[in-house]
Amino acid sequence: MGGVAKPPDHTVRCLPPLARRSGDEQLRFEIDGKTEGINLKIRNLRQSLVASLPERAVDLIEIAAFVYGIDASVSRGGPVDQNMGEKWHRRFLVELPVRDMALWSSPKVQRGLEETLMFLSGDRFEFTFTQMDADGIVEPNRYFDFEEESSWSPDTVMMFSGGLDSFAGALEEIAERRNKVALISHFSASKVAPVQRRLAKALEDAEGGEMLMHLPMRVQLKGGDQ
Amino acid sequence: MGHIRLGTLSQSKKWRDVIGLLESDAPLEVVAEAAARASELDLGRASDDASFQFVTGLLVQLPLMARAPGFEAALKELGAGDDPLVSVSALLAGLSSSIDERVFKIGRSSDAGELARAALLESLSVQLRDKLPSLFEPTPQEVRKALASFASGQEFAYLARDFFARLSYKSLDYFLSRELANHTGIGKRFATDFDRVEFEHALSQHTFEASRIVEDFAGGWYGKTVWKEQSLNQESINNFTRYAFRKMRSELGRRRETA
Repeated sequence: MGGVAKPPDHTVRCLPPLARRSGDEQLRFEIDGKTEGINLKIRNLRQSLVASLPERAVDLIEIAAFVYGIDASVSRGGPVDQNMGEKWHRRFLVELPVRDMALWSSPKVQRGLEETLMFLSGDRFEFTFTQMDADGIVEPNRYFDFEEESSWSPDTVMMFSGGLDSFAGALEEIAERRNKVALISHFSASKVAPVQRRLAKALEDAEGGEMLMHLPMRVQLKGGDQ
Repeated sequence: MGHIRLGTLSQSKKWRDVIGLLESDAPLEVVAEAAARASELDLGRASDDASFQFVTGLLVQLPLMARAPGFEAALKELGAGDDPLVSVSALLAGLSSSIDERVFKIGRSSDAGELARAALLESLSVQLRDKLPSLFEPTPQEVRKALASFASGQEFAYLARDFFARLSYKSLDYFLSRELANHTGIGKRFATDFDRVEFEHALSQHTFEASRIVEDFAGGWYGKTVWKEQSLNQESINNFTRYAFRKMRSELGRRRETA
């Protein structure tokens, strides 16, 4: 029985970010020769929360945004089955500059990151980390939108997709356990953001505004030259 | 990351025929044979898939490894973790980890490999429990002995049948599950979801009965390849799995004729 040629690996080079007039940073990467961009903005933060953000945390935010953008830029083969989902399982060879090179290039950390991504996505990400040069370093605050300072702090941090599971989890944490909760949402399209906002508002109305804070995070794939 | 998409069947004529059979209330035997025919090419390719080959390699070679000295060290080298023989559950978790490890090294996972992994772990779970004392937790020596007992032609044949019955059912279900929901509801083949589940149970039973054909030849293949000619290697295992799929398909066809 003849085999079928495996789908090709995808070679990715993460590029220095593009500063836009609007103030937003656009992360950029080149995949199979084509340039793509990612808009990244985390809203409703307090300045004090990120005042002493370690470099490795900023690296992690960028790595997560790149993984999202890379995932979104390559089709898994469409809804019609082809060769038992052959295009579903992808392999990305990613060159990515980081600030904390010592951490990310440690074999244990790199292996942990790659295994986690394979477990979550079914894709194999193989990273080659490089030391970020001065041109690539972004002032991290450009990724954030700040609200007024307050002394509010959460007991629990939870993912909040806008689906039933995370809503039920948040409700249990707030209503039953009486914990103050920071709800972290990701949105890329305008469709899901209002749903997340409405659900967070409903929780606020029912349980009190001091019980939760909603932190929406926009990570969106865009054309690289926009 | 794409988990919301279930996907649809290929638009090939063979799969369109299967959909037509589901719509026309054709008997289960007819649907099963047509689905097996439509998926034959894909399942034939599965034997060329590196993850699938690793799992079928475990099926054939684990009993032999359990008989040989240094079994614990061999399991550790496979990535099965520390003390995988303390219980059947620990062994299955260890084997699953070793498959993860191999897939990571291969650099690409596959649906065929995942179906084979699930079939292997289920088969070992059921078959090992039948061979172990039920009142007390088995010792590591008992777990190892139970695994080693599959290294004879007859016992391997039971294990191989169980594996291919589960793998064949999972393969058919992998394809059909994309379509069955379209035939569920008032005025359709399955009036309720319960009817659809009943169909799946019947399909599972049907593939198990058809898998008797694998038992009939697996014992002879094992005795000849492992013990008589001592020619066991990955290529011989790949040929065995290709042949098993072909025999399953032809048996499903024969059972359709006699239904």
